[in-house]
Amino acid sequence: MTPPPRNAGGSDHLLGRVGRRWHDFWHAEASTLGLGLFRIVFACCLFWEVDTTRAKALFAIEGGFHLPHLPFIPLVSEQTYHWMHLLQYPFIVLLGIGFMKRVSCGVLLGLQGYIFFADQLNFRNHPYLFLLFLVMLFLAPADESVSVRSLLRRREGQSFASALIGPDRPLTVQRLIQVQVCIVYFYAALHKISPVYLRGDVLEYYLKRAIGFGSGLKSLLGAEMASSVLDFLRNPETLLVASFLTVAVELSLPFTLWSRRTRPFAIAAGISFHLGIAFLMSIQVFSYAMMASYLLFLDPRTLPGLFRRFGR
Amino acid sequence: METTIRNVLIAAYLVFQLLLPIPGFLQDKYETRGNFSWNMYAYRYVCDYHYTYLTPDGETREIDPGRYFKIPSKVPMVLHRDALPQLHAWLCEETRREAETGSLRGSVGCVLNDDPRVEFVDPEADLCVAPGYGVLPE
Repeated sequence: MTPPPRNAGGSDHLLGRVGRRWHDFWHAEASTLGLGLFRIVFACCLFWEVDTTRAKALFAIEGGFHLPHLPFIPLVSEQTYHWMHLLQYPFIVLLGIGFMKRVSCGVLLGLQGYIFFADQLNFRNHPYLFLLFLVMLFLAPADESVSVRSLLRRREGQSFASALIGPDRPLTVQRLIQVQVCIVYFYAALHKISPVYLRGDVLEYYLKRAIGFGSGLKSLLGAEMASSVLDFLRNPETLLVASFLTVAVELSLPFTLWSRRTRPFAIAAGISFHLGIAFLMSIQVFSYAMMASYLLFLDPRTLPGLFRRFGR
Repeated sequence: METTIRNVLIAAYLVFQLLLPIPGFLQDKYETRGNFSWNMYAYRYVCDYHYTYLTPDGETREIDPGRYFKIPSKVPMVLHRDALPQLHAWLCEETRREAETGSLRGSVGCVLNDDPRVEFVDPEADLCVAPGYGVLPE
């Protein structure tokens, strides 16, 4: 893909500079290894999520009260609903191994999208985000590295590591996923900028309501240690600091993840934040998918370099 | 040409994803739930609700809306002004099917964060005949 031309005099007009920056950002070609690894972790998250969605998206089944998004979407029988979930597993596996990626993404989009849009009461933020990720993986060259497809295309004499890394491709859709992740963080932070949230009251409310609050912590640290940690977390001062940190992390990540200088700190903060909500609030699948998305923010040369180093 | 189309599609996606959460962010939280605005765990929205069916001979019968929900714990999701009329319409239809005459009464109140409690339903109204199914305007 050719970048926009410089003008004859060589002087850089603002518009031209912006155009070139835009082009370099959206259409640069580089390794899609990060995207391939993201695809694998995301497929694991989808696999894990099927059972949860089956339990929480029952409003796609006919009967009872409904609040449809679009009244013309027919509801399904209990048996069809069951099969619509069961059918997802083989396609999630295909997506994970990077074989027939477009077909698997298309089928998953159809099944999950149908269930999601069948009723407003099925709305949850992270299945919606997963639908957006599926659309993007459908369009992205996400099966060109760490995939069955990349191994099948292995040329004679090409090393295993090099085949797994795959060719360079435009990063357009990868950039869209990155931007989408930033939009999620940004709006999540904006919603939380309120005196009640920053006082720690809202966090306290959700921690109390969280199913299995601290159960992850207990399995990790043991009952006694977990109990002291939980006492510390229930403390109003701790909740106040945690609320401020939540807003600070969510508001800063959309900016700090892009800069090479701030990225390591941003990733460390993001991972700590998501591990916190995974263990304390049992919001696991969303947390792991968001952490996996950090792979996309790494310099596209970092992961292939590591692969080559360890693949020798 | 192909690059131009791609650029237009990218710009359209960005505009859509940046604008879509704004209504849910700006709108009154009592009015609507704010889906698609990434409002994860940001508000404390606590509601109580109580519905009764009053028969012509003065007998009252408690109605639990959760009975009609596939997941009863999801009733609070409809306790916003934009969704309550649909719940009331449904309850009216169901109660009429079970007993032919009578009136549906209800009280729904919600508290957002530190706000004072907001009443959504006229407690004196028969929800099946009142304008807007008895949901009080803002």
